[in-house]
Amino acid sequence: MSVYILFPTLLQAQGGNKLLSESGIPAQVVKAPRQMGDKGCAYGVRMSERWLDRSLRVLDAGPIRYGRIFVPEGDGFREAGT
Amino acid sequence: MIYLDSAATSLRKPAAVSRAVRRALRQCASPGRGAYPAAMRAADMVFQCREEAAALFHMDSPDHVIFTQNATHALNIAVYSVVVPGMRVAVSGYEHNAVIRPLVARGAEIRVASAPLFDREGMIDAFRRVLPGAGAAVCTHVSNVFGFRLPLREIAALCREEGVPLIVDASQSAGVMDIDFPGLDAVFCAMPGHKGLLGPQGTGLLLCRGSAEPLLYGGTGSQSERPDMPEDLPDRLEAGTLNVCGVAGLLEGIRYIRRNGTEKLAEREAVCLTLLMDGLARIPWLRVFSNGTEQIGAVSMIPSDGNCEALAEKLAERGVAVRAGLHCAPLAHTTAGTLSTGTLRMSVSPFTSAGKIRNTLSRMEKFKN
Repeated sequence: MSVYILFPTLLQAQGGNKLLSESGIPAQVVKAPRQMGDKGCAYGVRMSERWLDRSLRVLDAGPIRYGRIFVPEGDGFREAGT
Repeated sequence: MIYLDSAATSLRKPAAVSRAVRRALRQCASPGRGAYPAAMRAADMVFQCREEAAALFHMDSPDHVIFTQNATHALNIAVYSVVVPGMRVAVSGYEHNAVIRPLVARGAEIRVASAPLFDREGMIDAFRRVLPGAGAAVCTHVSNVFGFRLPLREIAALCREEGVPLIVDASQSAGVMDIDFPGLDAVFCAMPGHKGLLGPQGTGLLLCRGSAEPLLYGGTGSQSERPDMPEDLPDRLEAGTLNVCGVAGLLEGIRYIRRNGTEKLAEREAVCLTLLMDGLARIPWLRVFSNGTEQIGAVSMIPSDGNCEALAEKLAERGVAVRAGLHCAPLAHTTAGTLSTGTLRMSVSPFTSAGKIRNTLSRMEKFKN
């Protein structure tokens, strides 16, 4: 199952994706599903759920700010931490 | 054609630049809009260009590299972000209209740091005199008219001491001089993509230290439900569709510069400029404004009859492309004392050859003024 880490801008999503890729984490820059963006259009990285914890450690150690995280729930997603 | 107008635009570019433009025209859609391969391909290319530019200018993050249409657009964003109506702004005596006109439009009180041509110490003293009480300063790195390399590091240090935010116009230096943007501590640095950076026309860069005010409001492909522009860079300053093909070409221009190094490219230019200035100095009916060590890329001259436009036309008829007039920098001419005639300017690039310079000189030596 896929999880999404959202970023404030496409550029930061690309920067985040690059950091993850350099750490051996397979991820992909995607346009986030509409319901995930609280201000409208958003970009994020999508990855398999098993990479989430490691991804957050990599991102926390780097200069890129990330935003909301969405994990699968039922047929859809819920925001992690809610 | 012998092209000696690189200060206007670098006509000869690395071959990869036009290949990249053509490829982008065929393969790149709009970044930050859709998420299909052609859009993501465009997004990746734009990202790479920002990264290369950040590396070239010693910046940690590509977020603060903004794409603009040209240096004028970049300077307007910078001026509108820093200057408020009535603010005293210190400028060098060699600024282009791309600096002066936005300042006038913004209602700034302009104080000119004036010093004789090629007098670096004089320029530092002049800034020392005009900076106290200034709310901002704008300084060109190299004069587009005379090629005069201003003492930017020293001026930046003075601005830092006085707490005056500095905007740098790197139109004539980006790509041929190493510019350490964080080291300068300037708030903005503006440059065209189509001169020393060897990219296509329709491109420019604005390097930002902090945030800035948008000049243009519109779609950014992000946070669309906000009625105002997003806070984050670069989106805040990049409304509308980017010149994707231009950025593709600019990416190759910057890659070329990074592969070769600004020092090597500057040396290539310097060899040609020195050859040109030495040859021009031997023409008795020409007054040449030259100074070997403080001059980058361009040399200005006035024929004895004062008619620069006629000389430029004569040269054009013989296949030599130059520019005559005020070069959109009347302030520079006022400072140097050349306002009544303007000047004829010849300017080189890393692709100018010694052979073309010798050819130009031999054609000029045949003129009887």
